[in-house]
Amino acid sequence: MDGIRIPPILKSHAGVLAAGTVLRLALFITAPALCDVLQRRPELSTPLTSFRSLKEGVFIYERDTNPYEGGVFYHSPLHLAFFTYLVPISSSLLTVFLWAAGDILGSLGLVNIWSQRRRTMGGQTDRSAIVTALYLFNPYTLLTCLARSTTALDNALLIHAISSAASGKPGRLLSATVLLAISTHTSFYPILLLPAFAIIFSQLRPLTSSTTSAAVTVSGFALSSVGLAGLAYGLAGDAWVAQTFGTIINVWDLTPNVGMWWYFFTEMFDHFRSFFLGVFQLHHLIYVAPLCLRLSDDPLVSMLVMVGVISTWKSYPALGDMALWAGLLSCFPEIVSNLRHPLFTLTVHLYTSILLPLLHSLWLLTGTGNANFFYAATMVYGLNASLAVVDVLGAGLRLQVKRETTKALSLLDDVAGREPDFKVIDEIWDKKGWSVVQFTGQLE
Amino acid sequence: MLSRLRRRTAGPRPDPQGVNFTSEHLTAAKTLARRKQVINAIWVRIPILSLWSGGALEDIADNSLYFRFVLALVGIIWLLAIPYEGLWKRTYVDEHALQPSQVTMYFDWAEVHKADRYLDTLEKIVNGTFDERTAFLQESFSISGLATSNTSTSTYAHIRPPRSKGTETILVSANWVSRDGTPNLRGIATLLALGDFLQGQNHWASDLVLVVGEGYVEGLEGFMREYHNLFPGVIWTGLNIDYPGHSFSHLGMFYEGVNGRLPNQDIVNAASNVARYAGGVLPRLHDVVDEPPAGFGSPLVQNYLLGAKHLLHHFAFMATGRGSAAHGVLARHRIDALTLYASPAEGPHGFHTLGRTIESTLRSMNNLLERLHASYFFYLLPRPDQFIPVGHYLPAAVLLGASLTIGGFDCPSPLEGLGYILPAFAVAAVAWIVGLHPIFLAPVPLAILPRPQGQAHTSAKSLTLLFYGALIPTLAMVNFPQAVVLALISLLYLTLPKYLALAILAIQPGLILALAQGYWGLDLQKDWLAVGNLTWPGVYAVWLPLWMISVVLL
Amino acid sequence: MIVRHLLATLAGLLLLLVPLASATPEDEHGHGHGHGQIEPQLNELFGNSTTAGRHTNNWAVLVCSSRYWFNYRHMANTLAMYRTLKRLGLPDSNIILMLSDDVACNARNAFPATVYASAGRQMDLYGEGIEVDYRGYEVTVESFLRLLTGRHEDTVPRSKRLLSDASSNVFIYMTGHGGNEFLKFQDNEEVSAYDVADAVEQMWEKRRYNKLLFTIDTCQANTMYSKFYSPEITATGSSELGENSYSHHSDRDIGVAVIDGFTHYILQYLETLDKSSLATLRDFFNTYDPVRIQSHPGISTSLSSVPPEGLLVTDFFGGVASVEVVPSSAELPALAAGPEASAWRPSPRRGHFNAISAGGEKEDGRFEKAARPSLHRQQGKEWVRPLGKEQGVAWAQGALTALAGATAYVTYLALSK
Repeated sequence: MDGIRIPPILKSHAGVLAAGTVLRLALFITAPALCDVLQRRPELSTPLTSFRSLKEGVFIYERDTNPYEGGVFYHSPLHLAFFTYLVPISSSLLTVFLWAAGDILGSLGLVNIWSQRRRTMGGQTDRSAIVTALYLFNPYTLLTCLARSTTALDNALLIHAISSAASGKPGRLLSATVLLAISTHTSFYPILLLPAFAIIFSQLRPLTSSTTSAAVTVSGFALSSVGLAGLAYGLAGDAWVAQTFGTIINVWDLTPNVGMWWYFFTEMFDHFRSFFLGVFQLHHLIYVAPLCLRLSDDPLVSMLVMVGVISTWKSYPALGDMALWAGLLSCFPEIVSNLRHPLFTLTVHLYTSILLPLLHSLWLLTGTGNANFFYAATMVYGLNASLAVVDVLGAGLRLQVKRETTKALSLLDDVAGREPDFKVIDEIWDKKGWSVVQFTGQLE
Repeated sequence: MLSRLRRRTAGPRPDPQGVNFTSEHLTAAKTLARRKQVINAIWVRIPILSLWSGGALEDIADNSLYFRFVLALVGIIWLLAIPYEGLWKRTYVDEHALQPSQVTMYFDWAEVHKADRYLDTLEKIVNGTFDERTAFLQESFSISGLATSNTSTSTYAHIRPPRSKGTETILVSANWVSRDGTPNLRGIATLLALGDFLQGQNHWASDLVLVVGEGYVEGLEGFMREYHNLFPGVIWTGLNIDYPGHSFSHLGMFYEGVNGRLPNQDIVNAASNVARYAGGVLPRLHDVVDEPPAGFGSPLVQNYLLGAKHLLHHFAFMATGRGSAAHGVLARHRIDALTLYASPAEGPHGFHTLGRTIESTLRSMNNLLERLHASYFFYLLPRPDQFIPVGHYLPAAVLLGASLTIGGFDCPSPLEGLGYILPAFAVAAVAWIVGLHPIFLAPVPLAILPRPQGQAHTSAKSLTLLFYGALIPTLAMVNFPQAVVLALISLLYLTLPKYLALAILAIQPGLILALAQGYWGLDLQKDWLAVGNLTWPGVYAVWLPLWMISVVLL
Repeated sequence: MIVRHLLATLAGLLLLLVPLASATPEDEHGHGHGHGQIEPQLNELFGNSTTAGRHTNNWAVLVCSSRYWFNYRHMANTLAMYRTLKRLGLPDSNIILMLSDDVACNARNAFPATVYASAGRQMDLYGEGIEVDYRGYEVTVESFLRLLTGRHEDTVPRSKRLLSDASSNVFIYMTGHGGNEFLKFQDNEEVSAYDVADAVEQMWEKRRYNKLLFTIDTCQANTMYSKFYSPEITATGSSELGENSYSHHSDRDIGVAVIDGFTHYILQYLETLDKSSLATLRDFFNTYDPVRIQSHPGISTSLSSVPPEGLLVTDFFGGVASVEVVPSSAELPALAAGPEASAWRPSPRRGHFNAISAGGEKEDGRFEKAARPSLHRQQGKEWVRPLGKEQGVAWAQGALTALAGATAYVTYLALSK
């Protein structure tokens, strides 16, 4: 018998979008027990993104008490205001639509990024359906959406910020900076993408010089952040800073999650705490400058690698952050084709996605294991993610060398002048039996 | 601006014929080429590493079979080596507080006499209604001075020792039906005598609750579903009494819980220790005679066979997720419990031995200050005084899983493969929801499911191998025997040559289950409904899809 | 010219100052002037000489560092040792008993409010008349080390303090679960051998003991006294590194082991002594039998100036004190007869703690109140100069000499130009 004949309508972009939406709505409506269970999973939501904590905060807020004084509420005041005034969180139907919409919007943003990328990198086939399918049907994304973790919404915002930056239009600067400011406001780490944003906007063919563009980007970001902070102050006084940014930076809440921080800091002596906090936080900073410098002519790739680093090493990661990164990665087919061990990474992800909930329940539910079991699975997950980030970076650099060499050697005589298609370049290199061994230097 | 930071002196113009245009480049290229040759020669032999640099997939497919065969062989050899005593260690009681067999027992012939009197009445009312029997039990407990009540399926009495804080409770149970199917009258008589005996003693730090459940396991399960409302106090440990015959020669320890959850090894070891030294009766595992079969050759072989016999009994319970006796329903509530089974014989022991053993075990449990956590939760017991720690048996399952996983790395188009695998899971899910017995799914794979060809076939097979290769080691962490069974089934279905696999796949899972039910009375569905044995849903979620996919991939 | 003259004058003045600076008075250790007679007396009073006759009282610190029912035997060890000490004459006021005290009234104790150290239960060690100074959760590493060093808060009562002085022989007995150079306290913390050694060194520096006998009965006990570095310590432990100390026997009605082997045998020996016994520590150590004890007890006498042959068991275990006869001229005058004179008036005391007035007597409306607990721990102590006297003098001398030398050189240069 032939393969399953999927009707072509379903294979199109619209079809995949529809299927994704229907799946989400169906699961939300027919399996509320499942959603309840997922809301409690530490792999899917952290204390900073948990829906249950948000509900409680909104409840307190509606009764004219500052939820930040309680000391266990870590969401941003913007979330608080949004779910009090705009989308009442107690209405399960509205939240269903909101979260489904968040995922859909995210996938639309990814398609934008991909099409921009195609313009610069070349490529003929229409992958919008594949990109959408990979994001919407990624189990990590799906389960995060069902768990109603705010990671899903934050991801959508960040995707659109990156999409605005990637759009190649200087007019999108405002939306890019504002969205990035909102993303930073809700989860602090996207601020590390600001240099890449500045580079992107400074490289557009603008009316002003590149320095001015960069300065405008940064100042736009700063102004938006200040504006948002002011709004937050107006909404919730000044206790929120310590509770939101304070927790992200100082890691006061040590609820287990899939990150590397919580176990470390549970065991740490107090007099070493600030030192290690500094080490863990500054670890993010050391990637920014080298990535921006080295990949300055392809800042989207530097953003991709940075997002990978953030998703693995942030203080409160969840599987939804990895979903964001996987979705972004699917917008870069030329990098995916240059990856060295994608299947290995996926297999280890399969293993850890079984082991993480299993070992967590073995620790806390049946009591036959202990925290080390769960942390071991977390470490495997983190190690695997780090390997994947390195792989992506290597692929990006390899891609760069391939393109430059191909151009310099004029191997593509027939399409000279246009951006060469990465598939064609790969074919030529495979046929010649060449492989990239050195990334430094410049062919001039 | 940034390119200014990066610019170095430009090299010479590149040679249009090739990329190596300086002598440095040439030497580097030669070295790299040489290295590549050497490494490739090795990598081809160990195909898993060739993944790293994107080696040719055909190489992997050809050569990995050899590697996979080796892994599976080592895994099976390891499995067969488990009954060998080289992997065993002597049991010991790890929790210092337990202090087994240290205390004088006061259960004596007066209590035995009381038990005999209770037995007389029980024999008369054994066929009465639930109400009649409950009335008698409650009356007996009340006369002893205990607070007593009943749920819809069980009768219980709550002992509140004078100096107990009431925050912890020890559970002792004896159900109306023994695991033999015969009435457990002497077990209940022991329980009644025990209740009478324990009342008023002042050296207990925790409360005790004595439960008599209807049937074999249903009564106790019903009690466990309601017990939270009945008395305060957390239950940490439990003991179930199963005494069908007239006298007994050995005391059998049944310790497997539902879904393969084992109690902490300390409770088994303490009970064995108490039986042996305080009670004076030799403990057994599962009522398996602990003597090496004579005439089988050297002692090594005899011991091996004895260990294998014990382990096969254990595997039979664990692989099907059944609890080995009534205590099995306690495992879900994090209660470390076991069943003491008085294996019927003309033997020397009776109420006296059993009562003393139980009393001493309860005294040890009484010493606990926190839940048992010191000893192992994952172990195999090949002999009553030997155990196998998890590190000595788990690698077998890991190797079997690895041999499957490695075969899964050759996946040209994952999405396509996924498209051929998901229908099998969907069919199984539908069958579960509808409530269709697996045997009715026999014609499905050939009739309904699409058969992949070419690249799609390879991808589908590799995805199956990856998934089940991941499932086996992770399952082995919680239920090793079940994982071994799954591994053997997967290997048989997925890795055998075509016609052999055809023969094996012809035996449909539903057929096997029906035969098991008919021949051995193994009703997994009833177990799922009664006590929550997850093997039945597991058949639908894991086995049936595997079978269907394997047929489709033939 | 004028400059040169000025420089010469300056140099000369400075050179004169040098001998003046070195003419500062010496401290008491040096060859001072005119304090000769006081030195030996001060030495005798404040020195730590170890000649006989310095021993006037005994103190004992008994520590049971474990808790819970299954450590019954550690409690019994300590209480049996306590009873022996009291039998040999040491009063309760000189014994500090640290016990978690949770077995006598434990719900699992079939014989409530009793503790026995031997099967058969002939002698109840927990009867009347025991004074537990540190009980339950007060037995911590911190309280133990504070007890030894004497660094207490002002509110700690006298009964919880080790009020030994330079003429006290102190007996420290510890039992519980131990390991290589550590002892486990109450199941959640540990004290290391280094900490105990440092605390004992503080005791020595503060003249809080004349001689010390350290006895310990745990697993790998001998490692616990291996780090002592203060003088006049005799130590003994129940087992070597890598060895366990075993319990001796259990009482089957109680259901747990009731005494440890090492303690059982040493108490058995001590039962044969009485208050007037002249048995020496050497006799005591000679009764050790590794076969019966099932481990190798250790003895350390290298830090003691007197060998065990020269130390009596009752020097530590009893209440015997040496008596000094003083001339009648030193007698105090008899108290005047009469009701007012017989009314006892508490004397004002200086120092850290004020005496608690007896029973709240009011005399003439005056009531000697205990001082309010001070917030500053240093209150009442003298201010200690950061730089010691000799050091300061040396620094000053050196600095002046350097300055003088520099000036001289400059002058010479100036003059020779």
